[in-house]
Amino acid sequence: MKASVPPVPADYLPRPDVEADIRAMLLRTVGAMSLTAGFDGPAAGAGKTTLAKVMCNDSEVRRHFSDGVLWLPVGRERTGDEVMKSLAEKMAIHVDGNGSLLPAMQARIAGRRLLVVLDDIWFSEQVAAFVALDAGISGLLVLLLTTRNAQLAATYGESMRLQQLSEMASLRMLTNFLGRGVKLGGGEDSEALLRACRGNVAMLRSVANLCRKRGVHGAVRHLEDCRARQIAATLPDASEYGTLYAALEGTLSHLSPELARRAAMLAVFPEDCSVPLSVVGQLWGLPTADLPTAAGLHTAEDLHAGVASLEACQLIDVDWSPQRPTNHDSLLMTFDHL
Amino acid sequence: MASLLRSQNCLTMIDLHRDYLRCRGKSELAIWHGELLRGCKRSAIGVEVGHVTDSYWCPGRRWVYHASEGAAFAIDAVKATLTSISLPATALQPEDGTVLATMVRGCTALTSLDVGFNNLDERGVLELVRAARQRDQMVSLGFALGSLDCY
Repeated sequence: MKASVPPVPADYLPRPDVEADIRAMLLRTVGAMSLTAGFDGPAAGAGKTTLAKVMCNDSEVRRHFSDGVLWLPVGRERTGDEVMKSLAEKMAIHVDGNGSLLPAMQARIAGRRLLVVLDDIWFSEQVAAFVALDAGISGLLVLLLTTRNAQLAATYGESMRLQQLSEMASLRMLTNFLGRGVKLGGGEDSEALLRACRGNVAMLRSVANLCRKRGVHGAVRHLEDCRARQIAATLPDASEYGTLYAALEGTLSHLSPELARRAAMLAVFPEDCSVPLSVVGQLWGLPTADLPTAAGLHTAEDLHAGVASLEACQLIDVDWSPQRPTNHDSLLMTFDHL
Repeated sequence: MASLLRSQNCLTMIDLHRDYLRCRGKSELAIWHGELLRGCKRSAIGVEVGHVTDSYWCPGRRWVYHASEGAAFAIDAVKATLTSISLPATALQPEDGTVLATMVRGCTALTSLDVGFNNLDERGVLELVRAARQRDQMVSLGFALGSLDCY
């Protein structure tokens, strides 16, 4: 069985020191380790998942875990049992009602050297089932957890607490996200943007997108305006992500009201879910040849144009390469021998 | 362009953006879940229909998730068209029993239900049985070897 772990994002700017620390911790770990945020402020967007992807694609790490790397998205809405069952299905282990998966899983992984990434853990229950897995004396099974919950992270082995980016590192990253099209320059505007982002990678990416749409000065003005009118604060749970939500609000304000509404509709899909565009068409009311016509969209071109616009705003990622249908889109893995 | 719909091009969202969009669309989210269930045009849940969207809809948990989030709007979307729910061994959880029972009560054309080999609890199974009996038109019921080991 072969597939791929998630690739490193194309616009990722290497963080050599942090990567080296995580790699060293990972290579000495027996059991579990975690990546979490180690500062006050939004733990989301600190780069935990991205750095985990970097590790999964690191040649030294891949050599160490010579039998494979498993990437399991978890999130708020999945139970540990569900994630374990999806893994069992992928490994062609039969699930018959209440029968325990553990013995069959143990037999399959015994003697192998494996890295299992559990991405975005919220509850200890989600980890418990995996902690019981054991590759035996001659094998090695390491769990790498990413979580916003520092307390939970401390429960499972060593924890790498990611720090906020320094001002210099933030500036480099913002410049990288902006690309060649927008010149950041110095002065008050860039300082204001860096202050607003508080060294958070996701915020830097989102603010860079806003700068491309409105220009650097326009982005600063927009964020100040949002703050003054407390636009983001009117959204539930926004206190943690004020600047990020304001930047996203700014991005959506550049779309037509209809497209902004369609973008919001995408929130109905589950976390960490790869959604076929044909299903997006069903949500947006797209008629297809073999399904009855629905109100709303009129042509497949509408779907294509809408999705492409949202991708251009970096609200979504789209894989345009031809793919074969799969029922296991929540599970990405690379196993050569299982 | 038809190939776009027949291919399996996919989109994904990072969870931060999804969180933001969920906040933004909060009051309409249930309506949209209902619209999606209406748009998918499925009368038999958990059954492949040979359409490119099977990869999304056939793992039945997805359907239950949208049904749960859509609440009354979801029932309204499928109540006249849903004929069969086949979700054996799909890791249904205790709370899913209540969702499905509400759906069974509301769907006038439903004649077949199979939720065997799942993690439903006693309450959920009883609710489902009561809902199915209330309509008195079910020709097939399956609760095999679930947590209650009952038929």
